[in-house]
Amino acid sequence: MSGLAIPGRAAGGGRTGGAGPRPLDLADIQGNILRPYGRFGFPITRHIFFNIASAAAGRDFIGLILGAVTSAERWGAIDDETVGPFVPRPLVALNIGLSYRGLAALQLPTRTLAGMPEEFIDGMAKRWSILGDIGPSAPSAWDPIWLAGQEETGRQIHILVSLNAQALQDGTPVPELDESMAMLEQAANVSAGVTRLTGHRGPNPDFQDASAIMRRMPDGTVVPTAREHFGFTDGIGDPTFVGQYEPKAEAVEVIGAGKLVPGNSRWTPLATGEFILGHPNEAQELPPTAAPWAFMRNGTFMAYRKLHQNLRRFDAYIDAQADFMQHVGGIASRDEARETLLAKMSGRWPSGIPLEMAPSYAEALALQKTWGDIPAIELKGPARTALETQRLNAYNRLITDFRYNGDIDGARCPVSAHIRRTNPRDALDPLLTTQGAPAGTSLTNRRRILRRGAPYGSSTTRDNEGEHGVIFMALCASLFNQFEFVQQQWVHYGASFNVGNDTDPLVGLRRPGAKFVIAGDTARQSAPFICANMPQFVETRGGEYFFLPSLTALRDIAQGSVDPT
Amino acid sequence: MPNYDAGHYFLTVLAPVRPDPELVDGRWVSRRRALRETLNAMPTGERTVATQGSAPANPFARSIITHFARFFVLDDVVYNGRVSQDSVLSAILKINPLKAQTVDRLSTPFLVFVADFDAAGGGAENLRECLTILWRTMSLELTQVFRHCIGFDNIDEPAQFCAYIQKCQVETTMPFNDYWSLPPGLPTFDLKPYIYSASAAGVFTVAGLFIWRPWLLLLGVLALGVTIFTGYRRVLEAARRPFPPSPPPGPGADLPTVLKALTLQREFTQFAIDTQGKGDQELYDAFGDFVTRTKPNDPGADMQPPGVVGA
Repeated sequence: MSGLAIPGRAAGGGRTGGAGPRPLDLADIQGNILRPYGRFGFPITRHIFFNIASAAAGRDFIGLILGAVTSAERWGAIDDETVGPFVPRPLVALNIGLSYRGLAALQLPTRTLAGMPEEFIDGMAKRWSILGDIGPSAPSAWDPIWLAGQEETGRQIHILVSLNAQALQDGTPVPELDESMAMLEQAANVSAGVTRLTGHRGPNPDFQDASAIMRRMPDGTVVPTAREHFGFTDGIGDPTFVGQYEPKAEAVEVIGAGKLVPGNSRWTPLATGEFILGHPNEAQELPPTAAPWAFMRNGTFMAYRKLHQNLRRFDAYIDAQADFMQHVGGIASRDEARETLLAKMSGRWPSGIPLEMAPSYAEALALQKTWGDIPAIELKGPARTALETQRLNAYNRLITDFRYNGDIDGARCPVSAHIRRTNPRDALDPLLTTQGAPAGTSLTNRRRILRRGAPYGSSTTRDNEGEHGVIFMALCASLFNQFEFVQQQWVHYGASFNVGNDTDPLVGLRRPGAKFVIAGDTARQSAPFICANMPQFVETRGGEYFFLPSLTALRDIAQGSVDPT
Repeated sequence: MPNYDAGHYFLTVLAPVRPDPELVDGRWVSRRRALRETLNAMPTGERTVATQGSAPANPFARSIITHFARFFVLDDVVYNGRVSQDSVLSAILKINPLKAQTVDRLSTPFLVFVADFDAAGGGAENLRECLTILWRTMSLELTQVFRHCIGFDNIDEPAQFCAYIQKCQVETTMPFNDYWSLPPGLPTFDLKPYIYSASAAGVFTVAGLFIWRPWLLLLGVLALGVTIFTGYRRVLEAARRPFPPSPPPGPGADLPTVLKALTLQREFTQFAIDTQGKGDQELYDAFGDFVTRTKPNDPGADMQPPGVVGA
């Protein structure tokens, strides 16, 4: 073999050959694992769920739609890929997930099924106690489609098909979305035995729509924004792993999103095995998987959650606390108090600028002014010039390239703030000091999740009862080690951060008397502020764990050739 | 350090489970099963927020001396399989891998009872004091459990219970304390005299060997032996010394103090919330009321009851 030149991709994936980590087989990996589609020009998402009545029908259905599944292949210039051949960017991206019950309905071999992780076998509803799905979030209160799925075999959720569509200038999806829907419908009919499940709360019970919140521009066009219904900029701190991007893009994306190696202040991408099965992970092991390995390889797991947002409750609470905070802290304006409160809860100002970079309202305003051209550049999309791209990268670096070693006590960003809990960076390092070499992030490197999701519903009516929230998706090689750990230990508990019973101020579970503490700052002579009696802002309305198989594995399923012997 | 540490008596008891089954309603029931049934039915108290106000009380909560208590049945030791052997070494030593090795087993299952109590010292009399309190407050439950163990017959006096427990007691070699918020100021072990003494002994030995003076060699070896022996003794002695009962400058860590501290922590948080934004005089007055009401220096007053989880 040594004499043979192996055509392939170097680090990051560029087809230049040579040394570096083994490139990912992008044509075998589903596209939603590598890409947050929203950032690649697909602001509109539609999730459709299916039930399989017979294994043969299920195999036929998957075989019929297999050709439409979007892989992780690069899209030329969009991905900074310089060496062809390029795969064109589709107008609608299609991806498939299979629940454990789906795999069982497809009659996969018992050895394969028994080797699946426990939490995946349980399914999301059964993990309620770990996920904090109690009270209004209890599985018994979920949308009818999820409720029926728990109760009736014929309505169990087996297959998830996610369609991500590009938008027209008026903000509506491209017509190809309807074509994809028709294709799915036809595949279900032809396979005779696969049923589209209904029962989503919202305008259409047949599917779950989600979409970036759109903004109408002066010229009449409608453009997507990165905001969610509470008003925060979402989707900033996603992890970056080896092979996810082309080298040039990786150099930009890895900042604040990878890991810090002890003694080195440079960000490096996380191990691929934290996010894709069949590759070494951060523990320098292959993630444990079911047999056959070839079936699991290049696949991953996903937690799909429909999270409802109580907008009126949130607004009312923030308003009341902002008034009180302005009074207690002697803050000049109501706006400053409100924005500061929101920033302290989230860890970022609503614009996305982190507290670590701008701890005060005045500093945040100053930064926002300095970078006032960024929103316009962001909205330009692929049409932006090289100079604009450079400026956007510099801004992205500003909002992601920070650590907590200068703020151990949380005087700037509270230790219990949302982004500090869910992505603690170096904050949990037991040897964290302000001086010396940058501390590693090894305690958190195995707890990262890729977030893929978008808001659903409208927030024009800011009530509690309406349909508005986030379709949240977490992708990781181990739902137990990553998604469930973050959800239970970091979102719903306070022990890791020495904050007693306090939970995440935005998405945490609330008990009577729940509170959130904003640390005072001796340098600024500001007293601490306690937000008391916090109500439940976010509730679970449904969800399931899915396996996102590789294209090879989908083919194996369709052919009925999954063989663990 | 074993058994007694930082003001707490760490009790470890291994009581052998009776091999004979028990006749219950005309059916023979294995003691192992009967014991587990009894233990499973023993109320654990309000251990989580979810059981607040609804769980039956834990019998250990009838007294105010037990920090933690745990019962479990140790069925057997874990069998790790054959002692592994290097195949080359086996061939040289002519070890036959087909010959069965001895398998270590326990002769009977054991009931393990571990608990830590507030005690004034680590002596037998201190333990007897704790056990007497336990017997006086929960003899019914203790009898229900221990009656499945060998030798627990006709025990109905505290003295008999103490004698039984002491007969089954094994030394606690690894006590667990969790109440220090600051590391206690402990003296470090001074190695210097031993290093000097060992070096000198080494020099004597080597010199005795090279210039061949048997008396010097003997002296060196003897000195080395004495150094190692005394050093070893010192380490053991230091290990046997209990930690101080309270982390200076903090308060003691007996159960009433711990429960009071938990109550105060909660009350003070509420106080901080209630007085946010208040003026100086108002805050001063409110704190006066807080101190009067919560009595921080009186552990017995208004503390969280034992066996109950606070919010």
